[in-house]
Amino acid sequence: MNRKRAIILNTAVIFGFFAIFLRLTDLMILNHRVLAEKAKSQQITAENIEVRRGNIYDRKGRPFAVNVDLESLYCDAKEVVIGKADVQKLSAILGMQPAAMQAKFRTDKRFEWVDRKLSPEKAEKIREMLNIGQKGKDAAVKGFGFVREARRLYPQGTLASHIIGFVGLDNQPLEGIELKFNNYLKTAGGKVYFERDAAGNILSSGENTEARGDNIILTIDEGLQYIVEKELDKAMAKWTPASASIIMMNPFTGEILALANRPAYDLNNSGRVSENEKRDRAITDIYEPGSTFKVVTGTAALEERVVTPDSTFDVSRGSIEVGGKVIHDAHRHGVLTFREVIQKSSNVGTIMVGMRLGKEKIYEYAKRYGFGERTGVDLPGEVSGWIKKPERWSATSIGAIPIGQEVAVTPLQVLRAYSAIANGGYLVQPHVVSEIVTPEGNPVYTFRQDKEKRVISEKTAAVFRDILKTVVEDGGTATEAAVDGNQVAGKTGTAQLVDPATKRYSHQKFVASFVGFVPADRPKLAMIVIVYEPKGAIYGGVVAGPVFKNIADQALSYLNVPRDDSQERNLLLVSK
Amino acid sequence: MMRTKTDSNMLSLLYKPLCMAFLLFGLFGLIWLRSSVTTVAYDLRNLEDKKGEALKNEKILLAERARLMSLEKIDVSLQTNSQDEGGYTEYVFPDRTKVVHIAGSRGPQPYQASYTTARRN
Repeated sequence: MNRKRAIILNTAVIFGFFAIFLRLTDLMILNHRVLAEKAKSQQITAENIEVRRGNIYDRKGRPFAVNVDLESLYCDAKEVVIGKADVQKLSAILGMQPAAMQAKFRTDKRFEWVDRKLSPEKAEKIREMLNIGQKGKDAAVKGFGFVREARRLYPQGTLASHIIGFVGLDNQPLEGIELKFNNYLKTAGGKVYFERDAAGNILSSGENTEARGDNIILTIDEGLQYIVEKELDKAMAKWTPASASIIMMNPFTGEILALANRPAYDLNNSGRVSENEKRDRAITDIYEPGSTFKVVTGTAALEERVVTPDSTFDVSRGSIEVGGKVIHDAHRHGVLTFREVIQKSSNVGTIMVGMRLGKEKIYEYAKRYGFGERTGVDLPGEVSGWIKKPERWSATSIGAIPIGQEVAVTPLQVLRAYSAIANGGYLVQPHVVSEIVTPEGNPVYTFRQDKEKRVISEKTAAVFRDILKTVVEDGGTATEAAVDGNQVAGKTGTAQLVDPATKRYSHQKFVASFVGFVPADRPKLAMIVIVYEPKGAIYGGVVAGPVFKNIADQALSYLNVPRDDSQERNLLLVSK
Repeated sequence: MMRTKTDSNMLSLLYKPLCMAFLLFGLFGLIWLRSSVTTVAYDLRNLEDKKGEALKNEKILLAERARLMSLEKIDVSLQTNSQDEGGYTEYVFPDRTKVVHIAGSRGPQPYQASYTTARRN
């Protein structure tokens, strides 16, 4: 009997073990993959790596574009059960119409944004109201949740808005540096995996959950940018022009220290910006430069030895006829030296110089200065402007191009040409990005100037620089651009705009400009001021000259540039 | 001294329980270690959450500081404050024409000799 029992027990145990073996085979071999996946999905949770754009800083490390983490409210419309009173409360906090909010809950979507990138205060109010994420409490209203998103913030507001640019709601680049250097600023996302327990608590994997793009360091200086924009606003208030632009540049390196346009916009409210406000006129708008273009005619004539500073021109008639078109001087003069032709901005004298020089040479030097070609500045949307080839010049062109008509240039091109006078004859590469570094601080890009391109000899540059100094002295056209303590060299421009109705030069619409550099002999900065369609005055020396002076005054203080006469007066400088 | 048979038996008697105790100790030690690692992982995760929150606040504060420290903001504050006091003041950079320069009297200097005579600006 006992033996029988033993056999039965043994058989049962053997079958039992065999059954277990079969089950284990099923679990571990036959269904291994499916079950392993199931286990993994229960134990492992994936989170998106939070992608953050790189920051943008000025040359002294002051932030112009940063990220802040804000929360966005979403809902699962199928889950949401919310009363009318709660809808009212929620829409009041979010500043939305209750009907619009209710519409979001009526869809069948499992994911719908209620509102994105909420301020911390708003998010906190909603969190309290809906009991979302409160430990030990169930949500008062089901179906809502928060997601953390990065919002681009521009601490300087409108300052340098045309340089920095902005991004859209999903951080897609739309303008400026944000657009041009997006490949550096953005970074790839991805997922990071964590273990979790049955209660849903997540264990640390030690992995980084945030990916950051490279940081950009600009050549812009916040202080100089502010000075420029403040004075630009004052000029806008005084002359009520259609628009205006100012660019300040280091004439030796091509570093753009400040660039501003009006109208401008607040980078933090870029959603409702018009195309007119968005335009970076300093590089995207072309205009006829007028007398500031005489730098080409003047330096070409000196370089080709067609004239000397003391060559004389009889401009006493006050006008000259070229190809049947009569060109006048703004004021009557007698016999002028070449130096005085530039100082007094005589159109007649400059045309006479141009005629001596010939169209090929004028064209050649204009191209040498880079007119008709993009400067290559690292901002989006730059245009090239244009200048006609000599074979396409009309009979009147030799009377127009030497004085800056029948050519289209950008303000940056003009500034670059004057920088060549300031730095001894070299064409520089304007740029706004000096360096790009990884979040850890390792450089990935550093601006390097291409081989310097000489456009005129050092001697010609020095002679013309001396002539430009006389423009702001008594008898010149820009006495109001003179800076106390430092000599300014520059040139005024007063160009007529073409009236679209008559297709002729308007007698009401002008572009007033002044371009120059200071201190004249050891230039620290070159600057162009352009005011489009000023009201009340039209001359570059009257409208743009004082703006140049005010900016230069403050900028030289800001940069601790000593007075020109400090050494002669045997003064020990305390600010340098 | 000779080992007796009784001593040998005692050792063999202790050997097995010791091994068992060691095994059990090892086993529970492993379990304890594992649970400690898991606890540390939970703690780390909590700290990471706190760090994330702190970083979030830090970013907001840094952005706010940058906004408040901008020259534009300082200028506006200055103007507002001065208007409240009945005047008008705006941020001005030092007027270089009014900067006091200290006249230097360096006394006799050594003669300077150089092969370079041309001076370039």
